[in-house]
Amino acid sequence: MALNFHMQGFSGYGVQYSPFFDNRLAVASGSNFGLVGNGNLFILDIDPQGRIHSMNSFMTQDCLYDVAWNELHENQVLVAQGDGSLRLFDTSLQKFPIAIFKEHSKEVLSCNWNLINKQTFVSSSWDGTVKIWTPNRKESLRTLQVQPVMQSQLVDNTIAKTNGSRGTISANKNCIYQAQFSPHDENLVMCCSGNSYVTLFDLRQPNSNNKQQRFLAHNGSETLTCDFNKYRPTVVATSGVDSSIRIWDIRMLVNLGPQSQHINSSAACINEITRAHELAVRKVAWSPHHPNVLLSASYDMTCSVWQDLSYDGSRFTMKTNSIDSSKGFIKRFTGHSEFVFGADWSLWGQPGFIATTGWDGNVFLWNGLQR
Amino acid sequence: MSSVCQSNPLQQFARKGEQATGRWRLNEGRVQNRGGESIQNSVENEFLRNDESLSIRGGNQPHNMFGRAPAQMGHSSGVVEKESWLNEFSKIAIKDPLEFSDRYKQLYSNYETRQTVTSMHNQGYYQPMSNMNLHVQQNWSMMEGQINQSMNSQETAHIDQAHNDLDMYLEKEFNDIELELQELDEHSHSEFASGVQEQQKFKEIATDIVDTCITNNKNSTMTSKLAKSKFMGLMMQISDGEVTLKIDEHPDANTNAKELYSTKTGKTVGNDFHDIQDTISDI
Repeated sequence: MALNFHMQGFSGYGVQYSPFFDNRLAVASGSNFGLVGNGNLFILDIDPQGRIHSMNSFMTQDCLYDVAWNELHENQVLVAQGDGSLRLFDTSLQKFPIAIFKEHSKEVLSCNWNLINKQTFVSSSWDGTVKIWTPNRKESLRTLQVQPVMQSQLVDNTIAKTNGSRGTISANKNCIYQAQFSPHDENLVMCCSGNSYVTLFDLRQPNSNNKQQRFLAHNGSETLTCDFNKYRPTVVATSGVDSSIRIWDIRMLVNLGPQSQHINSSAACINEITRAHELAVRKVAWSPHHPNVLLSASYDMTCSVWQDLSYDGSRFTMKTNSIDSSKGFIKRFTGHSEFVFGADWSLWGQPGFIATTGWDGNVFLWNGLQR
Repeated sequence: MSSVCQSNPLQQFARKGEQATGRWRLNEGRVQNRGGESIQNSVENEFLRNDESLSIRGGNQPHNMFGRAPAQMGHSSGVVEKESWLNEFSKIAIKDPLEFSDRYKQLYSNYETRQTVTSMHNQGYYQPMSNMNLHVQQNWSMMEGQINQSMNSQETAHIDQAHNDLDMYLEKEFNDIELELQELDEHSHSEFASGVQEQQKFKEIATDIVDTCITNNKNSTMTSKLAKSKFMGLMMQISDGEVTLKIDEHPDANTNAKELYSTKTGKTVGNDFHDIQDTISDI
């Protein structure tokens, strides 16, 4: 059973539960499947009868690609817009945002609020930059430039060929699909790019390429999504165009500065769910209630919940999901009729509730742990 | 007191200086004689009359002049003697090695002429020009140069001539503006052409998506699923050229397409676009 809300004329891109209200969600959407036209931020409330209704909505000039609640203010929600801006809306007001942050030169594809230092948020863009912001300033606090793709040409020449990769580095090499603060360290930012790399920034270090830790996550295929495990500070999950989900321990990464001649980051992959979906995976999210459960949403119009078999809840098991016939599969949700782009775990109530949204304009709430 | 008894050398020097008074004063530009004012005037007038022919005389060398004049000036006994010297003196052609060349003098004359024109400009004589468009203002110095060139050729500061030049210049500038407007018009057409390219690229991308997801997909389950997708339906329509981006032909319009439309019916496909004000709420 799932609860449903349909956003007439809009396609869902991002969804997030409110960290303050157990019945409230924010959904970022765009007209015409997000290709051209307006965007719309929907603030949805779930009533006691289990019906979802729109509490407020804000139409925007361009499509919206992601959403993040302000961790310090219950009424404020941030959106990533296609015109290169981020906008902070107050859900108790109408029509216009209360702040606009415009520095990116291309589409802003993701935004994420810092869960530790709640004064900052991060954005990533098609322009190849990650920016750190604070709500009190129009200008960004810092711009993180991911190492240019020229350095990544080794991927084409070595890694992709030797590994017989299915994918190739696409034209969207510099596009940074997602950036995220670590929920364990306020200074640690992770982002994933079209050049297949996942890059880690420590904000305490100077902004230098030499200090970037990055690893080739998906053999040259675009890495579309990444997420920090909420219980294990060094464990991250990534996924992308190759439709596999990989789990990494960032303690095992090698610093791949410009002087480095070695790319052996694949050794850091501690688990993999191969061919988790029929098509590319657009979103992965670790459960806020379990250290070894994660969610994936895909272009194949489904969402799946998986168990990470390399960890039993207290220690590493030295196993991988490959040994399991179902690859650690827990549940699949097939309610969407278009690509699924956004997914989020509920922090509230019984563990396992999930909100998903996709290009069919639907927002579904369902339980991912109820078999 | 005789000069012999003069003990103070400074006083001796001063007395010798008094003897040469005529020379020094001549150098100051005025001929003065101890004999009286009337004499001074007549001599001066004669000198000034002869001065007209001063520059065209030749033959006498500077060292000759300096050889004779001090000796004659030392005598103050008679007016006739003085006048004869002045006649000779005024007829001497002076050739000063430090004198500026004719070319320099001409250029300096032109410079003075320019100063006159610039002064008029600063006083607002060309004030209407300040209301011209930016392009004209940027070329103000060029216009000035053109006017000055014209004046150089005539060696006189004739404002009428400047007006003629100004008229010519303005005509040229207006023609240039006309040309710019034409280019702007052509540019808007080229933007429209880039919009057409954008439509073409959009179509190619849609074709790629259809080929990848449906035509070349061997997974039958996924293919049938995608075939039912509205998004894939739209991609197929775009691929077939039935739907494309709506490009605004207005030159001031943002070139980014905001809507899709049917090439058959001309109607908007999907959502109508609403222009949203880019402002923030007052809180």
